[in-house]
Amino acid sequence: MLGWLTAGVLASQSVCLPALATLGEDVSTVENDRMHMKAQLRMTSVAGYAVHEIQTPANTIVREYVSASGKVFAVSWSGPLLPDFRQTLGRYFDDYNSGASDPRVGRRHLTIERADLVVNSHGHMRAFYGNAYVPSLLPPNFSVADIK
Amino acid sequence: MRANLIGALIGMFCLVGCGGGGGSVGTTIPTTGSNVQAVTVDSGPAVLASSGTPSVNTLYTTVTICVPGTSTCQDIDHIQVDTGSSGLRIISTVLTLSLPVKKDSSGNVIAECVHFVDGSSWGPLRQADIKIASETASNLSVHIIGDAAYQTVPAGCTGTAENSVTAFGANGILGVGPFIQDCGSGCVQAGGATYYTCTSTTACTDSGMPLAMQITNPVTAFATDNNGVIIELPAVTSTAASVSGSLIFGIGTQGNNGLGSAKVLTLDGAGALTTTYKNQTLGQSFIDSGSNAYYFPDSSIKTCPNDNTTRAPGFYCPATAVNLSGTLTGNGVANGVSSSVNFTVADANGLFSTNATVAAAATLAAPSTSVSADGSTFNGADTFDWGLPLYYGRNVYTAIENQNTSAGMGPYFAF
Repeated sequence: MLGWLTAGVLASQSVCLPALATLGEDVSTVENDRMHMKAQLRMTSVAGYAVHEIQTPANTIVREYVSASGKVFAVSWSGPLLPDFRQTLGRYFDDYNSGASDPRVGRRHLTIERADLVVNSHGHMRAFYGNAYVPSLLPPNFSVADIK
Repeated sequence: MRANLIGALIGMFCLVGCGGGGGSVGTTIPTTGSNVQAVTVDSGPAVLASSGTPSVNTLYTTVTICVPGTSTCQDIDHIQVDTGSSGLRIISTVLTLSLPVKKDSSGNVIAECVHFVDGSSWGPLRQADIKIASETASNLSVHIIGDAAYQTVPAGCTGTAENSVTAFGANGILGVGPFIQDCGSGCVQAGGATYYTCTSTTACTDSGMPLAMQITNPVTAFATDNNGVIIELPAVTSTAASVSGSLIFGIGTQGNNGLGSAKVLTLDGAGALTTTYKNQTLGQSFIDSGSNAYYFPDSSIKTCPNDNTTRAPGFYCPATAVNLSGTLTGNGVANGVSSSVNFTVADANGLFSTNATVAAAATLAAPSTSVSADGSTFNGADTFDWGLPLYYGRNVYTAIENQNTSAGMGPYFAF
């Protein structure tokens, strides 16, 4: 948790810090995710927040965005399989599930826009990508366009 | 799914005559031949319309499925034709045959949770002989979704269950995409919550699955015409109540399936290619008959609200139709080929504003990004999904990985 104060510097480290998490939870839960996914962890830090990157055995990349106060405010994913949303979305999993049943734009594109949860999910088997974030937890001046 | 977005619609109609002309290459679509299978874009299984969720831009065909090695067979209609996946999946409630389960080397039944972004479908693999046109795939593993004997869905199979015809939007799906297996190397190891092995009908465990045991593209199991498919649909101007065309097996294997002047767009391991659209380079783009619209990022086009106040929630709804273009290039083996596509996006709400049936809508499009409350656009997914509207008026070729064609090895799309 040293990383996020390294203002302005994109520091990339191949380290195994105890550092993954679940959306809306403290950074300490990041390690739960890593263990759950049997994944490898890489951490980068930029101004005001840190990004913890997990690579699952199936080569899906999960990135967890952690604010200076230690909360996971966003997650993104990219790879051949979807991540375990019950694990990565945590308390927001039920909102995601019910949101996926709302009016929507098809089986290969999903957008959920609620006051406390935004989800963009796209793709098909072999190529999934998307993100989820909690608007109220976004750091000041953070642009969601930076969730990659 | 593909059509439920417009599920609030009670009725739809045909704005313009149903397209009946030839494809962009100026050839007549063959309707007969040992490798020619009739396909239709219509409102889907009757239960969809009666439940208020008729399909839109969904391509269907009929598949004959048989108990292996017997003449005990069943024709199943309204199987969706999908170039975005591989393998045959059937909703169990439409199946009247009793098919043997597929077992792994330990004698455990293989089951699968196939994930979509809006849910998942669960069930065991069962074996069948599949007959389409005059082609046969013997002893093929078929995913039986919602199988009555396997009703205990594992916890890892998350998301909204799509195990019924109404939830799935079809009686099944025929995946004829550019890959041999449905999942590939990502499922060889356990942990992906996709393949499972079952020691009983209620005890299924997340398991790695060797490529040879995964669900496969039925085309690769044919004796001939097994290197890919062509989908040939007539042009559609605006909307149509139905569209008829052909699914042709093989590329360059018979007199009716040559590549001609089609441009070959090679694919990477994810099946992706690159689309240049306006000033964006979208490297995770794909062509997909299983997507019911064009999906691409353009914050300058107005969208309908993502709720029930519109007939097309979340779709592009420009006040007046806009003419656009994108250029596709391959992500696979470099071949210097690019292909430009002109297309039109119309007000999706307006397309469905009267009571007549609209099963085909050539100008239907939606964003592949969302716009946040602060107005910034999420652009993490660099994707342009060229859905079924691309196929109207074009012969679109799908060449399967590791299969040779006159234009080289798959995987590629060409049109």
